[in-house]
Amino acid sequence: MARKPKSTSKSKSPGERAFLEIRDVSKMFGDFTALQDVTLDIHDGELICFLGPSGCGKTTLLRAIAGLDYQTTGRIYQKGRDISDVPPANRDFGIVFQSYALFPNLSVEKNIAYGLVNRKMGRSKVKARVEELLQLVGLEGSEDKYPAALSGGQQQRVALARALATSPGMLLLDEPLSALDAKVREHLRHEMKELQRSLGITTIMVTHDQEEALSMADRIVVMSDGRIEQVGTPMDIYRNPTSAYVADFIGAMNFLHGKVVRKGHVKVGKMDIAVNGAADQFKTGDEVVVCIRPEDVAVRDLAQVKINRYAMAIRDVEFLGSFCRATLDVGGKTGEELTADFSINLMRDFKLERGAKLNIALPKEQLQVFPSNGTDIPA
Amino acid sequence: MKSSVLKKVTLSVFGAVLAGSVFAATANAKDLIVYTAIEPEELSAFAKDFESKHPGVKVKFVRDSTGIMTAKLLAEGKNTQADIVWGLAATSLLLLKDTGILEPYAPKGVDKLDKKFVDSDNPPSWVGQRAWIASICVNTAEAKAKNLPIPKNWADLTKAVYKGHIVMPNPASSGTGFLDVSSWIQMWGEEKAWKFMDGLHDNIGIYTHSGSKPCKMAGKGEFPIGVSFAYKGAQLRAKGAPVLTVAPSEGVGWDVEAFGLVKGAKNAADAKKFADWSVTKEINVIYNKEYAVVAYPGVAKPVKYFPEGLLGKMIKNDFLWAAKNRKRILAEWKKRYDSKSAPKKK
Amino acid sequence: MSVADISASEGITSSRWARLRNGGTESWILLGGVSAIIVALFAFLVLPLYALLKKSVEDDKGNFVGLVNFEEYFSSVGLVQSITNSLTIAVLTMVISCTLAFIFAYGLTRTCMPFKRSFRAIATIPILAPSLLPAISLVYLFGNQGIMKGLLFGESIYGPIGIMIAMVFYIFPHVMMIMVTALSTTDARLYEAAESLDTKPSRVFFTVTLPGAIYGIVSAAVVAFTLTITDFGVPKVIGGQYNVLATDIYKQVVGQQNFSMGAVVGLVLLIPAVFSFIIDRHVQKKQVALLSARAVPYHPKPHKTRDAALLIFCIMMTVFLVGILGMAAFASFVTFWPYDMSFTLAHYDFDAVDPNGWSSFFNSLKLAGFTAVIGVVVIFLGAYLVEKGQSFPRLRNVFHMLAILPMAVPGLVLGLAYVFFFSRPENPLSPIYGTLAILVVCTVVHFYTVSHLTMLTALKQIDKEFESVSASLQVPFYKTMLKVHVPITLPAISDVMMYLFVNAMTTVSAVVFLYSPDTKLAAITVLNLDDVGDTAEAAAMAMVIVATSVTVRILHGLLMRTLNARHSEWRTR
Repeated sequence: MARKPKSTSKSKSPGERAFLEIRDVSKMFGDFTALQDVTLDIHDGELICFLGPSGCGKTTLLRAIAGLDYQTTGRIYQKGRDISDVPPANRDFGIVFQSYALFPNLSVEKNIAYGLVNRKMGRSKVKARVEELLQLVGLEGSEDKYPAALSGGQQQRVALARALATSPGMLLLDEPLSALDAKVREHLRHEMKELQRSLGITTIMVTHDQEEALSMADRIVVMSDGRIEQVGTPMDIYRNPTSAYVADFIGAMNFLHGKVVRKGHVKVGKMDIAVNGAADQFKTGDEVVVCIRPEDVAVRDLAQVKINRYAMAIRDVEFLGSFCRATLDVGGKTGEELTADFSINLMRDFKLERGAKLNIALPKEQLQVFPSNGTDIPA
Repeated sequence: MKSSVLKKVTLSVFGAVLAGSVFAATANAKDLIVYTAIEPEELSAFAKDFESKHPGVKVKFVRDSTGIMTAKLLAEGKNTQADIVWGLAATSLLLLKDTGILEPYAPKGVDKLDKKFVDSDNPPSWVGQRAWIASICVNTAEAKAKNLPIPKNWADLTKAVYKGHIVMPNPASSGTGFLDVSSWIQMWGEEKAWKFMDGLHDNIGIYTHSGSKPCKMAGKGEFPIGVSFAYKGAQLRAKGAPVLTVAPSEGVGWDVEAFGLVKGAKNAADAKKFADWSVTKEINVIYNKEYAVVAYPGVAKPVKYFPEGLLGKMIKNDFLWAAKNRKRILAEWKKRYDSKSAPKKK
Repeated sequence: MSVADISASEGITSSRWARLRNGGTESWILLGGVSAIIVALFAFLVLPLYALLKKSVEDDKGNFVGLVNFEEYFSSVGLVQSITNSLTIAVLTMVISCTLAFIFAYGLTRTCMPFKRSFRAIATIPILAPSLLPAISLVYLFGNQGIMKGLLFGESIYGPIGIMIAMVFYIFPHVMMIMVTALSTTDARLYEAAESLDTKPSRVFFTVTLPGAIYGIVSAAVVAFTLTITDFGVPKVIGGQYNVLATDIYKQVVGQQNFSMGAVVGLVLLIPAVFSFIIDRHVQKKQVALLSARAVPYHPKPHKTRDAALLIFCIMMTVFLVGILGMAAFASFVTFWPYDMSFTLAHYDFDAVDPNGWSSFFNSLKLAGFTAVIGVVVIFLGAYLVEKGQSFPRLRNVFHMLAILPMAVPGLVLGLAYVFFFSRPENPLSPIYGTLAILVVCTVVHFYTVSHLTMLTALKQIDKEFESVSASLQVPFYKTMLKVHVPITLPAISDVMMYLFVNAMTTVSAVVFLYSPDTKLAAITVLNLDDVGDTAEAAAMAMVIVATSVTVRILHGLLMRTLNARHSEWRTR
């Protein structure tokens, strides 16, 4: 868990309350439930990502935190203060939108100073602060330009500077990078994380881009259908998804449908897969899915591997630049497939190509097992 | 920062001024509201004359045709804004007297006026100013061009040769129009009069809103013959229009322009001043500039371009009868002629 | 955010109050603003209309008489004839004006003929004139002394022919502009596809061009129909004995002071207007859906015969429009038509012929100025609250519906409704009766919908997160509104002001029942002058109105140009 250096106290003493406490927040739009009983703690100084497909409620949650759209029920506390019914103007946050929402008729300077001017700050102080912020986001000397004269990335920096200008207690980012093209996005991703870390400002970012979430967040909140699916560090979420939904949503994942045949063993097609502890919660005869990430399918050094070792044929190979994604024939009447990511190196060494046969292993410790009656499981 | 405060102040001041000036447009309490049907072009001269003699009083004329003004006063009743009704047909004032909205008042010097012009009650509810007399305006140039003989009497107007060439005022809106209809009925009796009007209707190009418009249209040759009143024809002739004013031989209808004070007027004091001013010899001289018959005896001089023998042809007009039958006559007229395209009842 | 609208109102009442309290001044301003505008629209639109409805079932003394007035109305041959007349005129005018406007718009959008911009500019001129002007002009052109009388082959201009010609002039710009929009929003790819399939031009026209513009055509037809059936100036001047509903209302109310019957006719007139309004709303929705499709703009290619034919047509149409305007201008300078054709300015000496003469013009200027300024403030705030207000969704919905309603109410009906509502002494608002204020209010309400929709469209184009940003920066929304929204929407604000000004200058119908001697308006003076036969003076006053509108329009153009130049750094147009 990457913590920012300035972070005052990560070690939460038992009585201490989190920076932001969200308690049983629900939001209804007519008959439609956009958020259902969301409870979440956000810690001081962390960058937390709300991740999920569109319509999962992540933006609704962010807007409820900002007070832009009130929750229907539930409470929200910021630093112990109940802000549930406090309008946005009386909360303490800065916000950046996907559209940047820069005032087109105001210069960069006036945009950044927008919140400062209202605070009875002296003119020279405002100017100094604007300069400082422009430096912070790397746009020195752009004071007099209008937003229309800036590139998308530059506009996003100005929006960030404006949000930070009043030194808010919390920074809210609503899909801040999705309007940018890939190169700029990657660059800004890094910069923003750096900036957040150095300022130590508690930040909530909403995104549908898992790569963005994985690379930037201290913690990720995976959401679907108005509920929180899982909260954890990026590594945690990736390696140990607690539901088939999360497993599927983050990264690529193989779902092998099978049946528990005895304790610690699942039969998928003709394969008997040892899953050990992962399937402890299931009884014999339960329908389950066994999950493994494509990059975890092992090919090298199979000599000493005793379990979960299978011979398969390559049905298809898809070249993806730095690696290849192979579709393997699991065999059996279901015609189930397994995808595996192989490095170019490996491909060469093992002369892998369409139609080739090879041995693979499914490392026991990389396997996850979920009940197969869940609605979110891909066929 | 400062500037935004300044802006706010300017904005609110601006707003207040705006709102203020809109509401300030309310009629001044000092103004004397005069309801009238006198020809609009005469009004400013009258206002100027009165205001010069009574500085501090501002005269506000509300002007429309006789029928409109009458209907307006009848509808408004005692809530009317008018302080004085002035220059409206005596027939109409008789009606108003019946509804009780007139305040009897004897203007200073009213005793000098011809008794015929003054309500017989004492104090009188209405006082006449001058008479206007029906006539036919004929555009001689157009008549010649279209080969139309100059009509000599009312009956001529029903001749087929005039089809589509005659305009007359709608009696429902125009006082002149009403006095025509009323005079025809008084002269000939109901049956003959309506028969005449049926024939006339076939020849009418259009009915106009006001009594002067037919003459003006005749003046311009738009329709060569206009049933109107003598003053208009003479005035147009004086301006150089090829208009001959004809006094039909059977006799001509006429009515008196009269005034009466309104009961409970907001500005009753000034209304009385206005009434006093309206009966002076001086003002009667002004009346006489355009009208041949005025209330002050001995003032009237012949008006140029009036048809010869016009005064002799004035019918014996029974105002009381006209007032009493006004509603019925108008209803009958409307039923018969109001919509030219509507199926006609013969 | 439409879904969000429904939601906020479903919160728990106590927290709603807490939010309102916590929101401080800002929330109260918002709530106050929305409520104030709703109350205003109720007082100045809904209640007057109710008063009209009530009047129609009362006798002149104010006793309830049920449907007696309606019975009387429908048993009167003349009055019922007016319905037929009105419908005949409206349908014929609709067909003629839509056909002409479609061809004209086709020339402007689908050909390579020269002078397109000039044609378009000239074709909008009639908007600047009161509807009385073309009628007066037609008397000079086709009246019994008209210079082109022969063209009518003995038919009289006083009647349906005159009404229709004048109406076509008067509504042409409205219809033409809708047609231009309809024909501009086509997809060039459809034409390319048709061309690649070697389709005959006539088939392309009927399978691609017409269907693509159909909603615009329907919308234009509805506008033409409504404008024609509700206009009062034209039939008043040139209708002769051809009675229509609009003149009937005037005759009943002004001529006979029969207010109950006026109310009945008003309600009868309201029916086609509301009907058209519903059709138009329906069509507009569909049209929006059509527009949202991703289309490639169409660029016409030169085509000699087609371009020449349409050029000739547009020239003829322009001659017609300019001819009518020019005739009125010319007549206003002629000493004594048709006998003394020498030049004179005497007809502009309005004080000589009317006690309110020039003062009525200055009243009109005042009215137009106040209407433009007050109207644009109210309309901007209203549109802002509807579009950007983040709370009170239900109230905002109510308001939006009220804001659309004035479009369905003909001016005569609105004016009459005002008489019934405001003239009653027990009404606390009655002090404004007879003042300029009631004229301003009536005019703003009368022209509210179009202005509201214009403003709304402009505001919709502004990033809806500005309010959120401003709240997060703890800047009150009204500051951001003034600092950001107002400057950005300045072109729309200026358009709305211009629209209100010109309409206030030219309108007759809504105000004809409401003016007092102190507040008589220029357009009404035109009417009165024509009533007493002072046609040249009436033409002169109409020209003064046109000249004023033209001047204001030129100033507006210059202002826009300066604005665009000054804001070129950030305004992308």
